[in-house]
Amino acid sequence: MSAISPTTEREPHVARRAGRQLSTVLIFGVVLVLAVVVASAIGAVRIPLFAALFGDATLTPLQSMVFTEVRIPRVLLAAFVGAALAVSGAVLQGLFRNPLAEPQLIGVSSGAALGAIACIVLSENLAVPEAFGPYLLPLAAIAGALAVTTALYLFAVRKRDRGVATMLLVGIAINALAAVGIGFFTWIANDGQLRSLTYWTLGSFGSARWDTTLPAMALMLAAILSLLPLARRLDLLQLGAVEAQRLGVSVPKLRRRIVFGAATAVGAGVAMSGIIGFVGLVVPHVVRMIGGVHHRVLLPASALCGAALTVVADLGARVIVQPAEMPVGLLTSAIGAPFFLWLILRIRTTR
Amino acid sequence: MSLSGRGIGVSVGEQWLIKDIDIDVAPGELLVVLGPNGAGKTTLLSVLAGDRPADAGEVALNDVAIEHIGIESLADRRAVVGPPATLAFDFTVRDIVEMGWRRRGRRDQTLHDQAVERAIADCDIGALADRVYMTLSSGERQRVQLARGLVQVWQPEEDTASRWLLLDEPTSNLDIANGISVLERLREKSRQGLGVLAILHDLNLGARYADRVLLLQDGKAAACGRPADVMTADRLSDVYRTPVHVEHHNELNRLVVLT
Repeated sequence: MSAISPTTEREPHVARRAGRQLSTVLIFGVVLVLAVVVASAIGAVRIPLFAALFGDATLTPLQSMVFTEVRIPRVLLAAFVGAALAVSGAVLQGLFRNPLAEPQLIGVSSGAALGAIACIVLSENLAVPEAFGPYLLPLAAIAGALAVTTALYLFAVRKRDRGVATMLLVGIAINALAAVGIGFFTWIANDGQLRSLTYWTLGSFGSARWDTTLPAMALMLAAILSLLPLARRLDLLQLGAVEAQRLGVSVPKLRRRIVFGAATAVGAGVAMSGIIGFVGLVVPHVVRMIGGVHHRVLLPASALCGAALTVVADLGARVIVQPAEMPVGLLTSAIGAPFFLWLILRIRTTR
Repeated sequence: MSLSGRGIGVSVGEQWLIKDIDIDVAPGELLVVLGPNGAGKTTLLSVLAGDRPADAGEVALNDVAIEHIGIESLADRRAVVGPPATLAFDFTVRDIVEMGWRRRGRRDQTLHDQAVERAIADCDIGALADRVYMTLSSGERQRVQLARGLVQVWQPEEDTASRWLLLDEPTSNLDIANGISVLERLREKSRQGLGVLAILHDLNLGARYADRVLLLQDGKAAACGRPADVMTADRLSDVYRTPVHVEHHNELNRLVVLT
């Protein structure tokens, strides 16, 4: 055998890959910052950003109030929800080894919505301590998301991989079941509750207020941070559960962490903003095209890209039909659904 | 020092898939497991690999019961090369090979590169290294899997702890030349101190490269020992239920199995 000189052979491709991965994360980081800056300034009330940030007295009281109490929490909430949905999509695709896994398509978002709606309708009859209040809605949504993700996993994957179709079909069934529950709670809801319920079905960041969104944002951040370190294990899982185990990955533990993390992220997001579709599908695929398939790039870059996407989509929702507002979920689905169709056709032809 | 099983049995309901099997894979040897379909070869491998517990008997690695070894330390000591995986995403060949690497420290980067380049060269997949794995043929994928296994058990010279490589039909999709080169490589690795167990279907490859052969029949060991002792015409004919001839070819100076 001839001697091997790794230093001469290796550097180009490894350096190239590392460079591509780093620049992918940086690019999406820059895009997110730009999106946040623009979205903070533009809206029904225009805000001169420089003045707002440095406490300039030229700001009217209205502008200043809108900026700190309405605009900033709304943009932040949009960013957190986008990041949570995109990272959840990425880890669920990795867990199911399936490019079509997506929180809304496979029913995780519906489960969360069902939990949240049950909470809205039933909580009037429960005596909830005041301090616990802001957490109750996210926790109910997380419980719903967790139940669905676990059920999905048991039905679609547990024994062996049953393929892309099974997972989607189980997802359809779960969505149908959740629709029954949602329908039931809509039916028993009173008029006041009905108004808050309609908002779930459309998806919006319009309700963002510091006191209600901070707990949910903390939960989403914790969930995302708990998912990021799983990157290498998710890479190994792509070889199959048995192979990953042979490579030293504790697969049951990994699955639990993914299911729990994704359910927490989606649940907290849905609790605040309703169902916002296709972010978890589109974003990881876009990131893979630019930064490659490694989860150590995919997860952080998806978080940044997802956040940027929802911030821009929410800006669109606020601006397009000014002074009215369209539901942001409508916008993301309008982008996502055709993409989904394209993806299915592509998978059909290549696999 | 060995990977050993004593009285191993695996049952599904009333049925024993394998029963009463004694096996030792010593560092430095190439043990080939032969047997017809359904004889229990893969079941035996999965028990030795620690994938599943034995329902009877005991598997031990260096005298430590395998269920008491954490999966991480187990992965440090033995690699398993199964049938080629199907991936949902576009990992490259080099990505797959690198998945075998276990050490994490930054100072291990040079070792990592040595191990990966060595394995890529050993399996002759240098030309494929930047291709997307799922675009390869099944034979090419099989060589990539082998390279990943070699990276997992690779060890620098100063590290003398023994390691094992278990392979389930590593040549099933390979042409003659590639099949021979894989077995050549496995023998070479075993001479460097690796314990190698390979399930094979090609009796001639087994006869030519095995240090020892374990012949399975209906979940039991029909025979175990040197190829010339185990692979007799009568025994193979009986185990495979078809007439098999075994000759010593004088020109090649080795056993030749004819069917």
